[in-house]
Amino acid sequence: MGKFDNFLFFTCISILFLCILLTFSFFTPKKASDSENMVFIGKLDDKEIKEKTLSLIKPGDVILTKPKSLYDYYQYNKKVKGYSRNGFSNLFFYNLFDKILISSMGDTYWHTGIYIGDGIIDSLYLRNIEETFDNTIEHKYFKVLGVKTSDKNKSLAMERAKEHYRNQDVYYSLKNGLIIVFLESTGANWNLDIREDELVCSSYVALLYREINFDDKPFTYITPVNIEFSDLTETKFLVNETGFYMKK
Amino acid sequence: MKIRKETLERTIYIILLLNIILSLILSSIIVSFRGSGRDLLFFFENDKEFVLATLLAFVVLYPISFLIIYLATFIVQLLMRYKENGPAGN
Repeated sequence: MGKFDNFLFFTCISILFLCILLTFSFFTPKKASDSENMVFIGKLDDKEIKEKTLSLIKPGDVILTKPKSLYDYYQYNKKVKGYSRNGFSNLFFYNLFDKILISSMGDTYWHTGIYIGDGIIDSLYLRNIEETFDNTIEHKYFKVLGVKTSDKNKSLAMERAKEHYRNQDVYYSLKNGLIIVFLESTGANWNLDIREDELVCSSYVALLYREINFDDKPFTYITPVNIEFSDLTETKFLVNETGFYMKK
Repeated sequence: MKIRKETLERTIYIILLLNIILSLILSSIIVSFRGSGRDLLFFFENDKEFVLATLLAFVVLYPISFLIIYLATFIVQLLMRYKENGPAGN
């Protein structure tokens, strides 16, 4: 290779190593400390989980979910309308999302929604605002949080959820999602212009509960980890690979 | 079955160079997508948030896409040599 080629080669190699270094600096994996006292109820089957969840969950509660494994994520994507990823792209997205982006905020949940009663969970997905239930709890890896606020605020949040579902006027923004993960991961306190109708699932829940502050920052910056460890939320029960647990 | 050092260097060089452009384009496309109420739509916005998000996506995507393209190229080169020389590499 000539001199110019050598120069370009080493410049490109430097950029590659710089990118690897910056990825580790910006998105360092963190461990979320979960020290809550939970009582083990048992290892329940799908039907029992659904029945128990419906009997314990109250309108206005926040639900956090995540696929418990790579295979679970693949199965989930196959069931959700419009997603037809093959095994390789599934592996790529799962690892990119879970091992880099989510882990950088703490080993926490991926998705957030609000229970609005009658077996309906309202949440902002990649394509639109959806009302689901089975898709959310079939992960068998979720946590239900009660929000410490007045009944009036809960009613307002549910009304807003129904209105936004009808109007479909809040959009999922990958740009803002990446920015808030970066800000959460690095702890940076930058004042950026994030539009109130371009959100991710957690900031959408914060928009519905706009009367309360889950964290000391605007609702557009709220991440799942802010909701999970907020002083204004308390764990009611959770389901993971080992079984069903309730708060003591 | 060995690949010559010079060929390997040139392959890495070309991939590294092309990958910068490819990763930047891919990053800007990814961060431009927005939910539309039914589908994902492409919304290109030229603001500082877009530049920041594109750079962040580039930082993550560049090493990953380099690895993927390099592995794919390496396998293709091995297969081509195998086809030319046979299993013994003669």
